[in-house]
Amino acid sequence: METGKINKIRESMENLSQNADILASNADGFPAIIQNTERLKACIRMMEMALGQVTMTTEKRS
Amino acid sequence: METPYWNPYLETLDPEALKEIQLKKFQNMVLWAFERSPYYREIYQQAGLEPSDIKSWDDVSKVPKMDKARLKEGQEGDPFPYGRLLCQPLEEITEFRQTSGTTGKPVYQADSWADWEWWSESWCYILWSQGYRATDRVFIPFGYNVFVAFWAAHYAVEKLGCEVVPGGVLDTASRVLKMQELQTTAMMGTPTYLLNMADVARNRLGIDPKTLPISRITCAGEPGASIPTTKKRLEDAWGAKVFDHAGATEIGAWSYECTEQPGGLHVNEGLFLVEIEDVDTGALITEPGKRGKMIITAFDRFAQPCIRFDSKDIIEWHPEPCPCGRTYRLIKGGVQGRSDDITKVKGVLLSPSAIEEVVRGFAELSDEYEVTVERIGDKEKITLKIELLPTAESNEKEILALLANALRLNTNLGYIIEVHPLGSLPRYEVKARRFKDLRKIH
Repeated sequence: METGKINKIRESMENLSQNADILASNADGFPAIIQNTERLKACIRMMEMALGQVTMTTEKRS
Repeated sequence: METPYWNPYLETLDPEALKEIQLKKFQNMVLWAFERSPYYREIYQQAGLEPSDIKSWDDVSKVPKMDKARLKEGQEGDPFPYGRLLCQPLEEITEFRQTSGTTGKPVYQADSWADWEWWSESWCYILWSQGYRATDRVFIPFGYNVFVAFWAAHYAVEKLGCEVVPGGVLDTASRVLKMQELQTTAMMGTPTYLLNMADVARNRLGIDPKTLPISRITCAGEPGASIPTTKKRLEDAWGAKVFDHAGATEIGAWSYECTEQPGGLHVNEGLFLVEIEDVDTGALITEPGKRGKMIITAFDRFAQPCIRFDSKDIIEWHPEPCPCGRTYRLIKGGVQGRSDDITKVKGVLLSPSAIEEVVRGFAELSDEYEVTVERIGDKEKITLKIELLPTAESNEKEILALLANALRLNTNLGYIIEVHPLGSLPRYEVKARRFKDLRKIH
């Protein structure tokens, strides 16, 4: 795959990841949003893996 | 402080604002089904209904009802096996389940990936309201198969952040031992099976179920956990809080009992529209105090929608709001029966749940019983088969007299009571078939 395209995917994914973090912190006291964001972050981790990134566990237990 | 609500916005929303959302979602579902399902379109066109006709709440009842027979009819033809009911292409279907009916062809249920998320989301409301949290280790003693039962619960447990232990192919004794080994804190099952499990623990394994660290149990599949005497038996057996919920394959998990245990189930009105209809006249029942059958719509399930489905469940609105603070309305005593189970015997309406409530109130009797209704000549006869516990055998005569009296008071009917040896009546793994109306066979 073209490097340019990969870089664009990576940028979108990083934005998604940052937005997920912001969403989780704004949703304090709203379990339905917090826990669904946790699931979303598990999917984001799979995307990070797909791009060969070294991942760290960021899961938060409610 | 931690919120008691999975969704603190919807679950406490002002009822008028909630009704506004419900109407919009209802309109959306009718339009979706009309545009995408040839079967729904045909049914609606036959009734002269266009989606744009649904302008207000008064228009909701114009939408034709669905029932199991219609679902089966809609599944004839292509694409196999969901037929003309399907609203999305087959390649978007990721989950297959089917109804567990004992007669005839089952209804096949298609769910997309998003629908399946919706299923587990609806279960999250149940579990969070019953106190499940990330520290729980939850045992699910369910034979994971084509029936939906606890599949969605499994994924909801996971979404809550709890640890889920799938007790799939193990036999009952092995399940109890696994729960003991892993020190599981919560579990789920039908009331029948969980009573059976407690019996196996006590009598086959010599384990008092109360010594296991199970603190909460969620029941489904039978009305037992909303029948006070059965709930008490379960709570006494396991030393745990027992909660009810109601759901169905074609509908979803539409109601739940919260930790306040208010004598009823909350309808998840953010995800479902529940209407109650008079069984005889078809008139809408909007006030507490009168039972009727449930007509239900699932708002956010799209591949194979459920719109104004006649579930045959008998329910009634609870007169009081719940002290838990949810604005979602309660149905009193949970699902009180099914319109096709309530039958006339000797001219009196009889609900199998009423018999269960009486029998399970006698501590001298085992958990199992069986009722048969027969017609001999022009007379009808009800036989109740019970098992006495060994400690009660010396008082048999007195117990039987008390039981006959309690049954007469609660059901207005007389019974022939047969005492059977302990352990001889059938034991059930999932849903019990304790009520047998032989008049329909002879």
